[in-house]
Amino acid sequence: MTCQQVRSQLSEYFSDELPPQVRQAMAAHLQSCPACQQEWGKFCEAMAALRSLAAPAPPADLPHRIHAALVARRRSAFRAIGSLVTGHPHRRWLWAGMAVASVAILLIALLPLRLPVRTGSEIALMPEGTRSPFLAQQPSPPALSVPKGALKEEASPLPLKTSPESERQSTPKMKTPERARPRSIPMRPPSAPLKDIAPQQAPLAPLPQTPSPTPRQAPLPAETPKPFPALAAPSAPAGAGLGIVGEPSPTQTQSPLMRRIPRQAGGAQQALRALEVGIRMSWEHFEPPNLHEVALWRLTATPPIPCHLTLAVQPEEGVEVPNAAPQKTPDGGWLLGEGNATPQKPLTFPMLVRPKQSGILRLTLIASWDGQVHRWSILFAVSDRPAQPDPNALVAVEQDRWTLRDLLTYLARQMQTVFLVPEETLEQIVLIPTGQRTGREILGAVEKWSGRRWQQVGAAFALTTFKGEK
Amino acid sequence: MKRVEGMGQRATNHLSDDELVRRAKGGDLTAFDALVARHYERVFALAFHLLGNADDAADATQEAFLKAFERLSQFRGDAAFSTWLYRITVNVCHDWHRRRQPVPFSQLSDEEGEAVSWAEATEPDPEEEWQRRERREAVQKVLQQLPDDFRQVLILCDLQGLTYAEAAKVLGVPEGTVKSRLHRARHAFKDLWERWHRERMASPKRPKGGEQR
Repeated sequence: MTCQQVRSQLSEYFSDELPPQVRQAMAAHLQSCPACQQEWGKFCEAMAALRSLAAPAPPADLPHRIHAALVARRRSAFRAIGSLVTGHPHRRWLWAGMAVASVAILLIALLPLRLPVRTGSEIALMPEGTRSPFLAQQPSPPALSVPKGALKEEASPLPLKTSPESERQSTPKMKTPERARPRSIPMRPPSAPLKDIAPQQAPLAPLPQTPSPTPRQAPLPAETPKPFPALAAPSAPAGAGLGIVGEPSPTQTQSPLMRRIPRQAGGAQQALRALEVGIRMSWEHFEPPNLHEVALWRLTATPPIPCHLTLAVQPEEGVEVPNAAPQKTPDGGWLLGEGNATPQKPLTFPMLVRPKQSGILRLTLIASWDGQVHRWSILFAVSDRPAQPDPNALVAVEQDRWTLRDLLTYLARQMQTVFLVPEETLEQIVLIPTGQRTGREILGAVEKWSGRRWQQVGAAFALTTFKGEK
Repeated sequence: MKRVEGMGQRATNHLSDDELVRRAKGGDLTAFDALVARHYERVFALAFHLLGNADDAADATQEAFLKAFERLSQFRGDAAFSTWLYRITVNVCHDWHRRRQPVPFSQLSDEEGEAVSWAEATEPDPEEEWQRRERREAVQKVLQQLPDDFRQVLILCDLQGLTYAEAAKVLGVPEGTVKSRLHRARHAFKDLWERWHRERMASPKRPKGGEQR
């Protein structure tokens, strides 16, 4: 691949729209060519700047202004045409007449030329007031074009309705709902020269993977703090469990791991495919853990190719995994299980979790297979009393710059939920506008920043990548 | 905690856009008000990005809704109401834009008052806030430098988050055109963005001390 080819396709690479072979070739080229790497860095920087652009809040009275303008326009249309025809705006009869007239004119237009004379008698059947001089003066179709807009606008016989002023005035100042394109955003190569890609203002409302561009689900209540569109409705297929995919980002693709794989995975082709798909882990069953009680979590790991899979866990302070073997694995962590797995025959690991203290607890899951290691962090909240998870809890955001680790730690407590995220995302910077946000809104912003999306099963959220994931 | 419901919108909360459109077509202005309440922020954001200033954006938003109301009978429901509304907005802004003089590139690094303010954002420290603001304004101005069709596609796809299919409906062009136009537009944006950086480096401006609070 030439530099020219690479540079002309940076946008497609950015949007992750290239065929796998081309993408791999680009990744390889970017890794070896400092000049292109620099271009890629600049491209990402420009995109980050663009996407960070937030519109200001619209004027709070804008809906009211629109309403008033609409009413004014309708009135002036009445007056103009009313005076044209009868000298005063006599609405109901006038418009009934206009409607009849327009039908009549249409008939004239549609009937053979020799028939128009009949229309007069048809009109004569109408009530006295409906006979409009307008028709007599301008019987030909072009007459329609003059009051056309007004006719449409006023076709309704209903009187004008105005909603109470109070409804409008309570409209708060809101931030505009920005949405980032919900596609995967490959990260820049680690050595790219521009260093402030992440710390941009987050466009407020990344709507993940919903087919619709607008919040169709419900109108925004007037007092809603901000129209940050909610996270897409939980989309996990029934019985599919909580999917997570440790799929390498392009950054990882360029990592030394790439060189390590062919050794065991049976040829470069397979190794590439393995990198492409990554390991997939599903959470078959999740129950929120209570203090000092054992909860059973079942995890299923599905590798992209037949391999020997090892799963280990590294509990941090305050939590035990009673069924983990007391032996340490080479990659750290305590062995949960191992065995041969294929895409058709995944391995299922039960994991028992016992919180020994309340607060936010953390586990690291380590899956190793064919020389690759994937790590996930599980963050969850444990309180003294069983608490009800609430993904829509209102959360006060008092600072706007977070690492994902801090943000999820905070959210886990506020939402009483559990998060499972690829470990490499934890240090990602996420910018959340301060104020009252629902948990879902914040998670929506995380999707934008991480380029991955959330899957929800029950009260649990797993961050995944887009590619290949349903 | 639960969200507080807007008093005025309770009655229409549960209705779909299509149902509201149907009622509005029948002359129900309250239904149209509900559509306004539902969509005005996104329309305003779109207009703001297209026009680059809040006053024009508010006027254009109003104009777009008036036009939408006038043409409601033409809305057949083939696309989502929002898509149709965006299309009207894009056209209103396009006409608007044609009437204006383009911003000369030499002004790109100039400060231009408080045209863009990210309301309620935190202000961690003046320096950082200043940089952010400068950056925001620069992005906005670079966007305004782009040809209309490039700016439209960038805003719809990269800022408003429309899919290619949706953007194609809004712009009235095939999906393939949206794609290729978007890629070219991004490259154009990148070039202008770098140019802005170079010019800024040539004449750097610093914030005025720490008094911006």
